[in-house]
Amino acid sequence: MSIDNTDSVFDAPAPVTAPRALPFEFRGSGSEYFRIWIVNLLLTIVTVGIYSAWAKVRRLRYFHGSTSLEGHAFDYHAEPVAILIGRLITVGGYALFLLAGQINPLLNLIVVPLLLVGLPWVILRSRRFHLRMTSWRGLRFGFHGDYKGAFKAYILWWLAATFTAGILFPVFLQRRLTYLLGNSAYGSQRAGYDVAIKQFYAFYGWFILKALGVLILAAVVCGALVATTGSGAMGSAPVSGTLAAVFFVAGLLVAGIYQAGQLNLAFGNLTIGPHRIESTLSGPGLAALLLTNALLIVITLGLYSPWAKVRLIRYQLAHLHVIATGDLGDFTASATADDSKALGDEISDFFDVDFGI
Amino acid sequence: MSILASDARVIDGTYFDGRSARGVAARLVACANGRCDLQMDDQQRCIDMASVKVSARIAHIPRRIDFSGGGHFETLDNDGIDALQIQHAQHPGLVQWFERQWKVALSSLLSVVLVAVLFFTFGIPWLSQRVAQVLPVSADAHLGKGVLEILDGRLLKPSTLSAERQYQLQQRFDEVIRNQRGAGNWQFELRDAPIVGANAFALPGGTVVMTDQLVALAQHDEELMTVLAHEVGHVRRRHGLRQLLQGLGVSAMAMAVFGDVTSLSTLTGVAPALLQAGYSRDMEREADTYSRAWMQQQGIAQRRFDDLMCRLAASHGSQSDSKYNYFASHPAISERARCTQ
Ligand SMILES: [Zn+2]
Repeated sequence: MSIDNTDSVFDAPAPVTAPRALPFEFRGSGSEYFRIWIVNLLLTIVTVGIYSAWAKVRRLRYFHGSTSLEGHAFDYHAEPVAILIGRLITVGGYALFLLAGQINPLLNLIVVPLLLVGLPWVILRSRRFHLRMTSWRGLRFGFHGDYKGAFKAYILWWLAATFTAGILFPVFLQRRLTYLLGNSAYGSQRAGYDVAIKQFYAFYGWFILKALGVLILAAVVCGALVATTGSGAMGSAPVSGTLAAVFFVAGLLVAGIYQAGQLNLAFGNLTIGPHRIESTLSGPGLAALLLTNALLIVITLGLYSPWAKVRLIRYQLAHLHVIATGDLGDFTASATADDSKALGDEISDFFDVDFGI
Repeated sequence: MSILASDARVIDGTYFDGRSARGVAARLVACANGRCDLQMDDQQRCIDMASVKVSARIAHIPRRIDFSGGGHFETLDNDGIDALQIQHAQHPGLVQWFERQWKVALSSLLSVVLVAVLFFTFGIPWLSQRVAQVLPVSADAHLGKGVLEILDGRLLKPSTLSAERQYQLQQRFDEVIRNQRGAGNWQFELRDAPIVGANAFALPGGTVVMTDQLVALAQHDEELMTVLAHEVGHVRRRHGLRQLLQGLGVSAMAMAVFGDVTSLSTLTGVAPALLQAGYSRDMEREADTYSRAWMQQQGIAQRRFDDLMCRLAASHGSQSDSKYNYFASHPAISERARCTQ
């Protein structure tokens, strides 16, 4: 049976022209996710890894379903069997490669070119799979990037950045994000990502300055510590432990500044039709969260990790808003939505890697 | 009796047609003969529950019912959908029941810990040994390549022993490896190591290094030969390669457990290093056993090994808080050798 005649939907709310900030709400909790996590883990162990495909679907459905925008949750639709087949192909391919290397070591020489040619394809497929399996309000997300674009962004610009000793690294990053985000779509609406290279250079310039500042500060703290305890104490366990801790905190601070800045640069410039996204993560805030998470995980021998994951997602979503202009109900489905049923796209969970931001 | 109760059940939610993002407030009302009514504003549809796909329940997240002709109904009333499924003789699924029980969660936790401990103590060493057997011997040499060059620049200096004494010791080493048919590309190196002190170690592939300090500590060349046999044992049992494989195993295990917490990637790198110490103790025992078997075969007194070990322990004991504590990853001396005093 089918349901048609949907003309008589509720009257759409009167068009709102003034932009309004809509928060992402997250209703997940550590105690809920702990039970999902531990059951997933046990079943994965008992089935020698086969259940991991089902575990992945349940985990992503939990996080998507716990996230809502304007009162409606996201959803994840991947079929575990498709993910399992993708993983088996990956493992089989890897075993084949190992075997080939045993039979003839010369075959190892073609691995690097093969990777260079294959990686853009894997990235493209993984991205398309992940977005097409995600929905909101009954419409699927999509990805329109092609192989040529992925090859240019990921291989050519990466090579250019490498051979210029990193001078072109910000350009590589800009191309990468433009490829990943600019080719995304929600329903029939293509996303827009238009950030000048200048902004990426500014981001990296500031990041390098901040990182240097943090490291110099850490060195000064360590210097003061050694000076007060006397240089002879350098080798003693408490002092060297404290020095290691200072640098661990400094490292996390640098990581937090980098991650927050990059996420802001990525999502903060994304537009979807008349709407845009705002990302206001702070580096020190994210670093503090990463630090407390790491400490609690160590103290609880790993038991805290489901709570840590939930905390991290909640924190990131709390700093993400949609600045909506007009009605979010105006989106329509993509005309080509049905080709997501194609076999090649269903089986795309290679390496279980999300080539995200 | 349950039919009466669920008959009156009304599930509130939203209907999406799948063509636009505009939702319509809707309610699902169970009626007879495996059918439900989907009521929206001014229209009502009769739905055959056998033709729809109901999503599995996961915690509190919204449930969806996908209709065969496109479109779906979404609701937060998970209990309502469960009742509906039971009424239509559909099973809500075992996993979702597991996830809702704290009893199951806690027993899962215990089982996972148990399996992890068992796998760590027995599984990984066994697996790494099996994999090492499959890998060619050239893999060992590959691992050891370049290590001595790195150490030479930092911790080790050229030996200060006389050429005559060095030649003598080389002869001793040749005696130890005399009956090691074909295994390894044997090479003997003497080094002055003021920082490391009295020590000997083997690189994968067959290079055995002994420090001048250890030579000075020995009172009989047979003592040195027992230590050389211990190092040869490390090479023969391919401990370097196995240690690498075990490290990979521990990393893989850590990834499996904490893989979805990406901020932990640094932690999963550190944990294997800490856990490795446990494995290297087992390997020391294995090398000791190898050495003692060799002594027996050669007719060398077992106390030669004990004497040198005890002297070594005494000499390192005087600086036990040193960073380069030889015994940090080694079994207790009382377990390895019988000391007379
Ligand atoms: Zn040893």
